[in-house]
Amino acid sequence: MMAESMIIKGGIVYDPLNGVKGEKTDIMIKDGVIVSEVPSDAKEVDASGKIVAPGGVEMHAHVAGPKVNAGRTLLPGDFRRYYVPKTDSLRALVGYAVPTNYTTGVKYTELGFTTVFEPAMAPLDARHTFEELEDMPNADKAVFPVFGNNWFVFDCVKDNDIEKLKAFIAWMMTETKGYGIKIVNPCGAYMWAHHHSNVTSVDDVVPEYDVTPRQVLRGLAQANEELGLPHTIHVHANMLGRVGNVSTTLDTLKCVEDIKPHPSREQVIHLTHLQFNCFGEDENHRICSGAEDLAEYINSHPQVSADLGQVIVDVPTCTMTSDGPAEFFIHKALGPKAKWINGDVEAECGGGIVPITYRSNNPFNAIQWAIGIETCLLVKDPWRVVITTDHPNGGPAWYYPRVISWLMSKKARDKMIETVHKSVQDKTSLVNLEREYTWEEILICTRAGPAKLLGLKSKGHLGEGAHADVAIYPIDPEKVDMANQPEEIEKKLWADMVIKDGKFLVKNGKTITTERGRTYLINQYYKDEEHKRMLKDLKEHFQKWYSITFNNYRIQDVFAPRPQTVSINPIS
Amino acid sequence: MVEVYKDVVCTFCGCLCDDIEIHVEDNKIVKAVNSCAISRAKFLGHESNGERQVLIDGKEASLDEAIKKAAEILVNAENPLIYGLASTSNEAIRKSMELAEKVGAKIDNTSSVCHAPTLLATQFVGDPKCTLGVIKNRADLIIFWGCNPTQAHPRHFERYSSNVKGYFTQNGREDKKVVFIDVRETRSTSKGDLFLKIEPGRDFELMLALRALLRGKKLQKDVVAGVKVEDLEKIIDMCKNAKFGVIFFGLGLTMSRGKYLNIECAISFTRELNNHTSFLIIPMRGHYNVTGANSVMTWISGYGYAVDYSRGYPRYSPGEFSAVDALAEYCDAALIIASDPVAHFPKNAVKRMGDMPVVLIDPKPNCTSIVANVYIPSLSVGIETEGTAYRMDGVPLYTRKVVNGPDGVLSDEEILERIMEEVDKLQR
Ligand code: SF4
Ligand SMILES: [Zn+2]
Repeated sequence: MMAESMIIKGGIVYDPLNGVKGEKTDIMIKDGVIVSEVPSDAKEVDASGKIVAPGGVEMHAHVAGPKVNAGRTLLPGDFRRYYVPKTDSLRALVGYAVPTNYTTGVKYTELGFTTVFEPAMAPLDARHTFEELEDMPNADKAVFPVFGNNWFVFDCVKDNDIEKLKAFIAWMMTETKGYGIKIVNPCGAYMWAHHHSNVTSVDDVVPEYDVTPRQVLRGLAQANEELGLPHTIHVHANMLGRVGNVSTTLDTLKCVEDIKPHPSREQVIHLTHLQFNCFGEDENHRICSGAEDLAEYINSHPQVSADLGQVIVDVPTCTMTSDGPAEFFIHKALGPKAKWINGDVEAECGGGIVPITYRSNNPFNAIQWAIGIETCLLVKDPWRVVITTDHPNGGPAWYYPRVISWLMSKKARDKMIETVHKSVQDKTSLVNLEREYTWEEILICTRAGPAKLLGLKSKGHLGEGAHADVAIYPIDPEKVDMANQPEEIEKKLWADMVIKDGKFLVKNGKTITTERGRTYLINQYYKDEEHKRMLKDLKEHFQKWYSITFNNYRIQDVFAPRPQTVSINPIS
Repeated sequence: MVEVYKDVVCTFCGCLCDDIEIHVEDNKIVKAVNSCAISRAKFLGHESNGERQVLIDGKEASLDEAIKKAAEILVNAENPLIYGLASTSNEAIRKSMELAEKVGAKIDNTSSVCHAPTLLATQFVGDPKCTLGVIKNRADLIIFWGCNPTQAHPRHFERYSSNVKGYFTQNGREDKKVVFIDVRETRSTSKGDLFLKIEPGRDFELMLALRALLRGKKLQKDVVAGVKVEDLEKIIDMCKNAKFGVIFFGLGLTMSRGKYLNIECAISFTRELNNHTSFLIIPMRGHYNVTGANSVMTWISGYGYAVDYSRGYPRYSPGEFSAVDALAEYCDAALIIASDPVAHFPKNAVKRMGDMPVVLIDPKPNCTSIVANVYIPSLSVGIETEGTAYRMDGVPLYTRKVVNGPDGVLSDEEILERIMEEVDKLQR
């Protein structure tokens, strides 16, 4: 189907980036982008009484790669929880918490999301990750290779050779078609793979390299800001899942407080799935919420952004991270019946997978559930907090409508609080929070905000020149009082119509066709002399510590058939 | 003129060695450097594969005819099966899955007769593993159980395990302890520091004994499965005192009595060892891309093998949708891709294959050609065409093309694409 000119008429438009707050206005589309004028024969789309918003931007969801696939292996029953036979226009849909890539693509589209980022790729596994992404239709995508336990990074950091580190980062992005720097439990995954231990603070030392998480975080943040990659460092902090870890998380954020952001932005660090790293410790050394401390820090530090990693209770799902020791810890905590996959990758990173069902009647899990929305309600600036479930770690992304209902409606929260363990009432501040998110704020947290944080100029808004990615929801904000009818939010946040690049993908709430999405990637080495200097050491490094040859590392262009190169802007 | 291709990936066994140097003269491979004997035979001998002539019912035919006929067979069958896949590229496997969905076929790969028990066990308990480079750099205790790398994975020792030097193992073999557990002496077993000869079919018992000892239990016997308990105690000591141990296991464990129970027990033993030290476990996968076959099938259907699309969505049932069972019981047509079930399957399955229409796509004619109604020769992946394959530890590599295939011969991927086009026409 060719992209046609169209005019979306009569909808209630929210375009927070351009200051449009629920106004009745028309959106015009031509050649796949938003324009200010269309030919007179442009197709009219009636959106009256409906919310018209930019396509959603998922900044952190585990949707492709060996970890995700191993999660599928551990959850064979997941593919009987949801299945739809193939039709003339669609392939079969199967799987729920860790669905097939095809299903994932279709579900995201039906949620109104048109961009999905895979946030944790072992660089050595890049080919596999891209093969799976290729089988995920519709969404534009990108991946974050992991750096926080990479031996070459350790070498650069130890020598305080930021120029070499910059050259290495640019090289790695280019060879593996990456987009941003992911850091997972810096130094901790290394300690797990090689010393059967972990780090417990940002100042623990890796014996062989004599470096600390603090140095790794600072080095990568500085290199990232000087290189001008589109996004800040994207950090899964140390001590994930441990009682009291909010202090480590604050230490992590403080580590990079004095790093100067790239001129294109204010942020230097993105704290991902904050819920898992926001546990306080009460006087009996039991878990309580750390949300107030974390939110206070975020509120007073514009250089920080975060996403929720909201937990969904009583839904079987699967944890999967590049954090080997954390997954071992979860597996031990869940008892001998818990399945456990470990997945260390030579000279680069670790990983683990453990299926889990967070229980509403479990005091620990109930507090986890509260922490996500509690923090979201306490953070004042919606541009710096993004709604995620760390899909599928906290729960499947298909629960976003429910998460949004908790944020928009105190009534919905209170009802939920009644059903979960009462620990939530004593150990979090959730019951006392009156705030209810507005539509504008929700649409910031799900598209305008993440697009801005990711440095995606053509996404998350409906200004002229933006990609014509539009989600239309069957909600009339003037007629429905969301705070009092939260069930409506849950039902109607599945899009009625979705347009991507000017083409209809969803009509009447049903996917009608699928398309191949773009891949955003960096394809640019750093300064020639630094690149060459770095490469000399790197080739030797490969020869010694890898099990594949240097020449077979770079992934071929066939793995990203619709590339969209994003340039980096080094400051000199 | 001799052209030299460096860092070529060997598409023979699950080691997927990627450091092969291939010399080509006049479109002929004349030399293979770094290859093991099997690899050398594969590269140098690849042209003696037999004539690559398209055949329908044993008679020469055109590719177009064969593709049409293959599509007809699949569309007209009630219960078609697609089988093989372990010796082709991921790209071809993806296409096979699409085709299976289109025609409502069963689809299975060769792991159902080798490492399927490993998958089953993983579904039960998980699978603590790592890439082979981690073993190279770190492992100081390596246990080979029911496998014979010297003959089946000849370069495993030198590249990944016992003999290679790594970050924490800079002296190579000297820094490591190597143990073999097998039912007989092999060319591998003499290379270990310790060899435990175990009575056939009693691996499970031995594994249970090891788990009991690890938990500090005293055994009531002096000998278990033919092995002295003091030797088992020695192994437990070695395991606990290792900095980083690994178990590599092969068909001796997956295909002997107990099957997936053996593997579940081995994985559980490995998990429990992690209460003491780092310990991981890795299957020795045979065909060069059997790991890819499981992986691709999983991300497309949710399941690694034994999948049925007859209801328009994937269902999984090993023992029912697995090729041996489906062929022996109720399939009425088969498309075989890069495999030779007639040479390896039980009699009843082979016998039924003789009575049903069979399509074979393979670079070379094999025993299955004898029963095949349609034979479509294809290009050899990693020699005449490129494509993705996964090493036994899941590391993805891109295989190369070093010579041109014969005129008019297509890759598996292209052939499957063409069959799908024909299927679409027939189904319209
Ligand atoms: S060990 Fe296997 S992959 Fe390596 S060269 Fe020999 S046959 Fe090829
Ligand atoms: Zn995550």
